[in-house]
This record gives sequence, structure tokens and C-alpha cells, in this order.
Amino acid sequence: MFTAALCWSSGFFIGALGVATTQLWLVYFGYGLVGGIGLGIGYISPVSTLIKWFPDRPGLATGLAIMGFGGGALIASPLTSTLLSAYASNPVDAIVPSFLTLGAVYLISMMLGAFVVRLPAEGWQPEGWTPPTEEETSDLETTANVSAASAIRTPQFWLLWTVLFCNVTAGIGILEQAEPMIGDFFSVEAAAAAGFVGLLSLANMAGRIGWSSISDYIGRKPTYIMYLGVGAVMYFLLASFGSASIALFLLVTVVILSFYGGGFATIPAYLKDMFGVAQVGAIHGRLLTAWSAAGVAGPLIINAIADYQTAAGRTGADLYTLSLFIMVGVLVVGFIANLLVRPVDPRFHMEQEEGHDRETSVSGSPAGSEA
Amino acid sequence: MSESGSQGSWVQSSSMALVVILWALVLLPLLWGVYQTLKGVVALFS
Repeated sequence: MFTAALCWSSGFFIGALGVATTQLWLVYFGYGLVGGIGLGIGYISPVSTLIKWFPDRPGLATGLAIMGFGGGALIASPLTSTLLSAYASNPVDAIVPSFLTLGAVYLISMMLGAFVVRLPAEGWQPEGWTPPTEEETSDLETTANVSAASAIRTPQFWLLWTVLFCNVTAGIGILEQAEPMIGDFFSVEAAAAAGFVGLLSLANMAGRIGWSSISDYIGRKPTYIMYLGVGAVMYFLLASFGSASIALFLLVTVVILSFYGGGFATIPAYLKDMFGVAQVGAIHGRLLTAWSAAGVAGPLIINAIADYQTAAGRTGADLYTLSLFIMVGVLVVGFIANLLVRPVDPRFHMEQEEGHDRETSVSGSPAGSEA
Repeated sequence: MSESGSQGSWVQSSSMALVVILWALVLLPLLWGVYQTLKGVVALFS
């Protein structure tokens, strides 16, 4: 987390230097590359740490951590607007001081987090809770551990990769086009379209903590059956009847975005169930390549189809019908991948001693056992 | 015995204070962000 804080804040400082000296490559290098590395490390560290503090409620733990990521966007967006208007009447002149301010704020707050967050001591467990035995757990919940190197050799890893890829691609389908989409569907004003984006952000954040916590009770696989199955039905409704009523449009898109957020938040707990807690952070990092791939594929699909539909002379809701039906297909692929998930073959399990060699490098030294 | 007991309770209350401060540092900006977002959402329904 210390490294994440340094990289993320340095990204803003280098980006500010790039803007001040009109060197665009410095902005790409700082804000894009260095900041991006900080973002990736900072995303994973709290997740793997919180899972270890909440062995009884891993879905709640990952939901809390990843809701923080969604909540950060709710703070950053209005904060950036406020800074840009506070520093200068022309927003272009306010970019450098805004970047410097944001870098300093992130450095202080993330360093505070890095200072406080600790792994629980070896053998720590919540009061009154005992780890379930192999017989007490479901088939898809292991008490063994699988190393990150072994995990990527299992079919389960790639099935979950496909699940996350499909869920994120479908979510981006809405997010990418949210503002123009509601305008094309219902001819609303710009302020209302911006409000729609805000509503989706809230649904995204609520889905992260809500659905992920529920997955502790109904199980990870059924939760993804809901995200992908009900999600596909929602996309179908949106494509077929979305333009008929703004209430239906809002309801369906809010549910889709809550599933998008929930999919992000529940996946680390799913990984913990499948591969054990020992190297869940490293496995999660590898699985998040699905997010990067979906971040490229989703907008490419959506934009290419939107351009094609515009060239074909379509307008309004018709611009999106084909994209939305493609997203139904994407979600069905993810749904099938999730159904195919089975317990990991025991030959991939780590030896008992290896399992105790826990991830201490990411989050620092373990905390005292009194916590 | 009583010295170690009072030391323990001091550690516990200072830990609790730290937890409260850190939650406040997280929740206050988050609530501000949610409020700002909700102000935009109101435009959608007005």
C-alpha cells in the first residue's frame, strides 16, 4: 500500500509537470503508467488484507474494500470539478494546481491507510468463530490453498476470468454510452443525463457492498448465476422495451449497474472459496487482466456498432438495439462459464507448510493477536 | 495488576478513537460525494 500511495500520487505530480511544460508524453507516463501501477496495487492490497480479517464473511470484506473504490469515484468527480473552478476562471489554467492538490491529498490519505492497515496475526480468528471443516463447507469452498502459479493452470481460473470479462464488458456497455444513451432514448436535457450517470454510479457502489454481502449467505456461484442470468434478461428488456417507459429504463439500467459493481466485489471472495486465502491477492491480480481486456473490448464493440448504426441512418433508441442484444449474448457466455465451475483438483493444492507462507509483502507486517 | 489493567484500557480507548477518526476521514468525504451526486440525480426527476 506504501508503494501504491507513492506511485498513485507521483502519477499526479508527474502529470502536473507534463501539463506545466506542455509535454504530453509526461502526462501519459505519469498519470497513465505510473499512476496506473499505483491504482492496480492499491486496488488489490486492501481486498486480500480484509479477506483475512473477515474469514467468516469474505463477501462482506471484499464488498467493503471494492465499494471504497466505487465510492472514491463519487468523491473524486465533484472534488475535481470544485478544484478546477476554484483555482482559475478558465479550467485549463487550473489543471496544474488541481493535479498537485489531488496528488497531495491522495498521498496523505493513502499513507495514513498504509500506516494503519495490518495483516492479522498467524492463527487469528474472530471471537466465537471456528473455521469450518471440509465436511461443513460447500463443494466449491475449499479449506486448502492453491498458489498463484498453480491457479492459472486450472480451468477454474479461466472460467472465472471469462465470467468477470463478460460481466465487466456488459456493464461497460451501459457505462460507456450512459449519457448519450438516455438522451437518444428520451431526449432529456444535459443536466438530467448527467444525473443519470450519477444514479448509475450510486447503483454501482451499492451493488458492490450489497450483492457481495448477500453472496456470503446464498453462495458465490448462485450469486453469479443471478448477475449473469438476470443481467441477460435485463439487457433483453432494455433492448426490446427500454424506450417504452423512462421508469422501466431507469429500473433496468440501475439493476444492471448494481450487478456490474457486485461482480467486481464478489470475485475475490469467489477466488478465496476456490483457491484458499493464502495467495488470493496474487490470484486476484492475475484475474483482473479480465477487467483490462473488457475495458478495451467493451468500448470497441459499443463504439464500432454505434458508428455502424449511425452510418446506416438509424437514430434514437435504434442506435443501441444491436449492441444491447450482443450484450445479452456476452452475458449468456459468462452464465455458461459460471455453470461449468467445479471444485479445484486436489493435485493443485499447496502443501500445509507452503500454505502458511502467507502474503506479507503487500500489506506489511502482521498485527498483534489481541485485535 | 491494576497498572497493567489501566494501561490496557488506555490502549483500547486510544485504538477506538483512532478507528472513529479514520472512519470519519472516510465517511465525511464519501457523504459529501454522495450528496453532490444526488444533487445531479435530482435533475433527472425534475
